[in-house]
Amino acid sequence: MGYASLEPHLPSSHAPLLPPGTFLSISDTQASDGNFLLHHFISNYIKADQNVVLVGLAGILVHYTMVGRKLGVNLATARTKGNFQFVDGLTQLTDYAAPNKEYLAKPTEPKPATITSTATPSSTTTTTTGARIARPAAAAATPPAPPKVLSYSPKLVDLYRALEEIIQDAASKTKTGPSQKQLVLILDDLSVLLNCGWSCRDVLALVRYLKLLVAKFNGTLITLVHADGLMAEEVSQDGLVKGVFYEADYIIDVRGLDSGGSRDVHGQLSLLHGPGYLLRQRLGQVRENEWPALTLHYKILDNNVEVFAKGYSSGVL
Amino acid sequence: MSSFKKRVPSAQASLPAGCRLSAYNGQVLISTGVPSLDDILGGGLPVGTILLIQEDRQTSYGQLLLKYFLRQGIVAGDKCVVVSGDESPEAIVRSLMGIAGEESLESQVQTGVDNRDDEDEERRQRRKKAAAAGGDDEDSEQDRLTIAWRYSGLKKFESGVEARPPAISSRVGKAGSTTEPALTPSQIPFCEQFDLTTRISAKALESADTTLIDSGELQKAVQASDSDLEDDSDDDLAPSASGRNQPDLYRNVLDKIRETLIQGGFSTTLLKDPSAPAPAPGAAGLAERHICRIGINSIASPSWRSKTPHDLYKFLHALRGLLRFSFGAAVITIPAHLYGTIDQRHATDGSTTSPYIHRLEQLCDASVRIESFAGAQTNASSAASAYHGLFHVHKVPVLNALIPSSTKLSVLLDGAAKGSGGPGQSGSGGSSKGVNNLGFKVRRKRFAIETFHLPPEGGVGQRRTSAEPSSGSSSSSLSERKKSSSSTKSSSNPGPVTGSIKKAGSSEERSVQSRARSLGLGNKPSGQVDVHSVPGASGMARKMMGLPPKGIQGAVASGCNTGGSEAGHKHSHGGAGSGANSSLLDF
Repeated sequence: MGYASLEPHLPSSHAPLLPPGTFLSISDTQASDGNFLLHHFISNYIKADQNVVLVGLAGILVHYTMVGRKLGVNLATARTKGNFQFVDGLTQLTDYAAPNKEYLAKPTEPKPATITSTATPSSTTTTTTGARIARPAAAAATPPAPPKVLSYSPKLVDLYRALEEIIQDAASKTKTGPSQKQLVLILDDLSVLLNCGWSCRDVLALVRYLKLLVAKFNGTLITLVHADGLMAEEVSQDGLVKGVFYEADYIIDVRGLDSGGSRDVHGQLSLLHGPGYLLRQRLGQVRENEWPALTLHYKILDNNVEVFAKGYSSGVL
Repeated sequence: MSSFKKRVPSAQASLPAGCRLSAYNGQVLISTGVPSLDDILGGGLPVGTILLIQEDRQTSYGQLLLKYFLRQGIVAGDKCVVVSGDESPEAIVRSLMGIAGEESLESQVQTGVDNRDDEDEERRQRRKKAAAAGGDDEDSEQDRLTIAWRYSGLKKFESGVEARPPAISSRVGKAGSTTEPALTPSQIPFCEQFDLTTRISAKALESADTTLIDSGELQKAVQASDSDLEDDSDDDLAPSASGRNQPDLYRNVLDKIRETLIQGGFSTTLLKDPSAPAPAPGAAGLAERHICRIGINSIASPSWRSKTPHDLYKFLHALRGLLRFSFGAAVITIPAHLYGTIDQRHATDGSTTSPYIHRLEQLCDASVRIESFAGAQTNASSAASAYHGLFHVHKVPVLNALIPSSTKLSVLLDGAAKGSGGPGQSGSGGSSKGVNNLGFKVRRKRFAIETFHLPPEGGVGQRRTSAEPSSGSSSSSLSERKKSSSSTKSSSNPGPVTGSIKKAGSSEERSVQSRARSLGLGNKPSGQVDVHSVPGASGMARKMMGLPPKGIQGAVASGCNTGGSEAGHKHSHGGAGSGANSSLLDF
């Protein structure tokens, strides 16, 4: 399991998992990285033998595998089993990185897994693919296929299409019994999309589309966004944070202590109700006390995270 | 026959030259050339990461750090890519510093002077002087502590990090006969000692494997192609002008870097010749492998023209994607002071940067900021003449782990590693951000980052103080704090309480203060916390406001009040321990 001390504070209706069809938005600041929460959900879903699709816009697969190992989850075997899909959103996301493709060692997949829009200017780079495919794909020896890559495209719709295909693929592959597996789609840093030149409106539209998409597959969406107080001065950043919060059912806000650094408390987690939660509450779809909104403190250890009530740190007790 | 054998580290041999493994997460590290900066980053800069250095104003310490990084690369035989726009990259490479003890080798051998640092010489001279005067000196053996003798067994107070002493003797024998590349990879030091008074030797320059990218020249070429493109845009196809073929300085620089990485075989995923069969992983010997060091000087300065601010974001994101899968690391300096509002530029606190710079920091793995006193608007420099400026750590690399390795390993960042883990302190784990304030000194021969502390007033000082007033503390709160320090109690006023808690958080009496802090954070209205301002802070505030120093009654009183007997002991020890430093700071 992920972090045992965090578990009781999360929505209780589906025990270690989040209720399907919901959207959890995590916001963090530079001083207190919220990445550790993603590891919690990844390990929980993998342990429960559910599907995880992780889009690494800032982190790479090795990072998640290494941390997963510390948390007792083997992501490599999960990948070969098909439970865990990693989507590389780092190496070829921007148009700056588009020529990377020309130097790739081998075609990533026999079938075109990387979605490139042909009608866009990036087609100038894809003209070389014909020559690339003609070459015999000899050295496809490694059993786990390389992670799927999100390629550059000026329109965010193409990214959505790529993700849609991956999710459909993941859901259909593991649909064996009568009961559909749960699925979680994790975007590890939404702010990257904004930084890479897409407008706030487009990114928000992508989030909304993805939320509806995963709901279809009995899934949950988790996103991470940077919400430093300083960034509120920028209209697009501020708009993104507010817009994502507006879409969310659950919000976890990670930030440092107001009083500065401490050895026993690394920061605080605010568990908040999003508008979606309030809506469902009004409709009577949530149980009483399913997700009490409160603020907790946390401390990150080597392979665990301690979450405790305010004032209950080991320095005090 | 004994069964004990000396264990020979065999794993180290397979590392590339000048690298070592992180003690915490096994990451391959390279040195920045400055031992104290390596310490802050958790042993060194991890391969595959980007370090952003926010430059100082009016001085060029940021560029100095960049030069250290490149020079260390030349020592290790690494590939160095130098990108610069304002200054020609060749000039940067030519002005690199020399290795300590390399140039003046003969004279050194003759006189027998260990030419390590002038600070050491100062200390030695001082010791001689003190011995001559018959005064007490902590360093000398005969003068033991007579009162607080129990503390004489404690570690000596040190504010900095020492590099491992170089094997000068071995180099003396070697340098005469053979040339430098004769060193085997395992003999190349992780961090060489450099001498700022000397220049890089011509021989080292010749053997250096450098790629120079002059972004100013590129800019011209870009503009030329731009005008060309406009000329024949009518017959050319339209979409190319709006898309990838659009001239773009950052794209050009990135293309050059990518080309260098691929041609040099530094990338693990991108190959020079994609049609050739992929080599088996691990076949190439790691020992022959080198690291590609990318140094970018003053990125985003006015000479770097960009179409949109997103160019730099995209550049960094793509560079990160490139470096993560290659044997390379980048150090980028940026004149961050150009991007900020007036009060942000003049702020002395590390927490204030402009949103633009902040977003850049998100895209880098580590970020530090240099603030030199020469360019500061405040007269804080007069309060701490021993330092040349402050060193702010905004972000340290977190790779393949939940917490950054520097919280476990760094001596400078975290007070816990410093041997202050006395009785009653758990000592487990570290804080997520630096507890210590850091300053830097540039001696005649080297650059060093040390913990920042004010010179003690009146001869008795705290062992470590948090001196730097935050930007949030306005002049009114400063005066409040002054008042509270004179009355040694601020129980009723909630405003200064939180302020002084923050300051107190980085001082020594941790157990007491953490209790106070969490009480204060618990929002308990009845939580009356007797918190006393750290005397260093108020002293600093007094200096900055041009008031005369007030004396140290507050310090002694507060120490005794908060920590009880234990804290009082600490103070006495601090006074004894920092005596050596007090004479160091000519104040």
